[in-house]
Amino acid sequence: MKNLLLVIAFSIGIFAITLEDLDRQRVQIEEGFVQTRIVFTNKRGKVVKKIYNVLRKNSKNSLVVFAHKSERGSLLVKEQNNLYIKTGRSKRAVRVSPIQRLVGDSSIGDILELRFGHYYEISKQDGDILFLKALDDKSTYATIKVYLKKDKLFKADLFSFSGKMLKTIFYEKQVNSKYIDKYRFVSRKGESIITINNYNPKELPSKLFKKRNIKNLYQLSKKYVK
Amino acid sequence: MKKIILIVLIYSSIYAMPIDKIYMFGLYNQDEKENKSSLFKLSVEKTLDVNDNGFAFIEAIGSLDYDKDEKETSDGIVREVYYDQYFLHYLFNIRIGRSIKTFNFTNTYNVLNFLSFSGNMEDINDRVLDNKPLDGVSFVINDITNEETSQYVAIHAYVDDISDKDKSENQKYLLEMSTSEDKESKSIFIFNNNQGHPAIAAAISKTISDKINFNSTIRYDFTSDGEISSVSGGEYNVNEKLLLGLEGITLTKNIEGRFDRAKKHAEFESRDDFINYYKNLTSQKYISMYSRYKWDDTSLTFSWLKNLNDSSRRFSTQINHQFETIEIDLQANHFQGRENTEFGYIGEQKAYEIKFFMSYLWMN
Repeated sequence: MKNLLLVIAFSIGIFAITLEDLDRQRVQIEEGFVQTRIVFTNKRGKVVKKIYNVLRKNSKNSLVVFAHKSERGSLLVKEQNNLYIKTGRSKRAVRVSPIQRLVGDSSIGDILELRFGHYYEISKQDGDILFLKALDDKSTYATIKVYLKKDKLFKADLFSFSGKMLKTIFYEKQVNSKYIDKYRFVSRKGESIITINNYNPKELPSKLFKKRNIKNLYQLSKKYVK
Repeated sequence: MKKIILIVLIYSSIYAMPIDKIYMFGLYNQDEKENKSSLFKLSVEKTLDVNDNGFAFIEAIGSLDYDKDEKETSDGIVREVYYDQYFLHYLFNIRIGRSIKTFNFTNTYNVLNFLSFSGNMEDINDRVLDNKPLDGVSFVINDITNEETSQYVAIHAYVDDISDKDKSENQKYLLEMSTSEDKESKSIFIFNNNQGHPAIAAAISKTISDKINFNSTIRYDFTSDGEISSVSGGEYNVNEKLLLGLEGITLTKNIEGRFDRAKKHAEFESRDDFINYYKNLTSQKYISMYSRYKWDDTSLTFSWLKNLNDSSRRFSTQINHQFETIEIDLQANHFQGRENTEFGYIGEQKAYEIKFFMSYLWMN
């Protein structure tokens, strides 16, 4: 009986923080508009600044509109977890393969959408470090190592299915912000800082999240990007 | 009249703010006999957000074609104009008008409209705007059973070439059922072919691991002989920069698109002329290989296609670079083979060609 109580007490300790609790520490928009600004600095010190307008229907349907001058007209649409990209000059959508999700701009959208509670479970806890495991092989990252500071999200290391560490994310807040709205990514190529400039929960029509409408989406999104 | 349309298009593109996008294309072509030709195309697009459930889209093209030995010609067409409306919480939608339909699943080719494209894996044709528009109606039922996959059933009814003398032959009806998941997409098509016979096609695209993609389309035409055609291939992502691809192609004698492609080699007035000349010339089997290497804003593509019947080959090299506002493509096509083979020379047919292609995207 004593052993059983110990096990229960230990279990309560392990799951004192749930993954849903961690998700709630971040700015969350189930449906609506989010504007993000990305500043990328490569190893040689070159700085690139970009702005992305994100329209989100739910975790499976979203649209990223590339707002920077050199990328205008480019879109990333996620329809039922299938990711497609269309560059400004092309008229066709190209599927983003799992390996491509790990690099470039698409990986940033993927990380912003990364919700621990939906796709991961806690496999182990070591003090303030949580070891997460993907619930299925559809997730981009197989394992995640989450670092906490006083039960608050501080840092996460993202690993591929082959066990390679792909990125490190630092979770931060902007001045006067109640929720985490600043992400600092560190990878082999350099450092990216993503800040959420603006967000507005609102109802969005499903026509914005259809791959078949991709050539119209840039124009259709204008009405909702504010 | 055509010149007036072109001028109106250019004027409206540059000065009228309601236009959403303008694409500008320049193309320069020179063969071994130093025959030179150049082409300038300007495409404008406009989407009208009618209401939360519907939108209208129009795309018009103006072109100016200059050939050293011929007169300068200009042209203007409305390539796409359609209205799209959703009903019942986006469960149904109907699209009416003129639009581009390709139904392609493989990278280099598609069986439903086979060989109507030049076969380059990069979508240079898409941007040169050679694809034929279709006039018709599509009725689509979206996401019919569950929320885990994107799927729909569509019925398309259209005329595939409005300039054809005998429109009845080109009235097409196509039932499409598609489903796609993150690593797999599947489709079935039931339709009538160019000769009016029923035909069925099935397509699958599957990611076997993070690095290997497999595509296959098989088509069966219900003719007296019962004809099967197929395109199957695989791609291997060596790393995030390098892609390798291999495809095998099997054609039937009546497959659509051969006529369109043959017209690029020699001018034929009718389908019968083409069939009589080409029936023993083109192969029923082809093999294609390609590779693409991308770094920063540049990509380099090599593609190779062999006619297994007459051993003629086509080799393409294409380099693409994107600057801040301008994108440049340089493509060289080299043809090898004996006289009167598909990729060899036919009469005065050139043995190589160089294309220089530049596009500029302007957005309102």
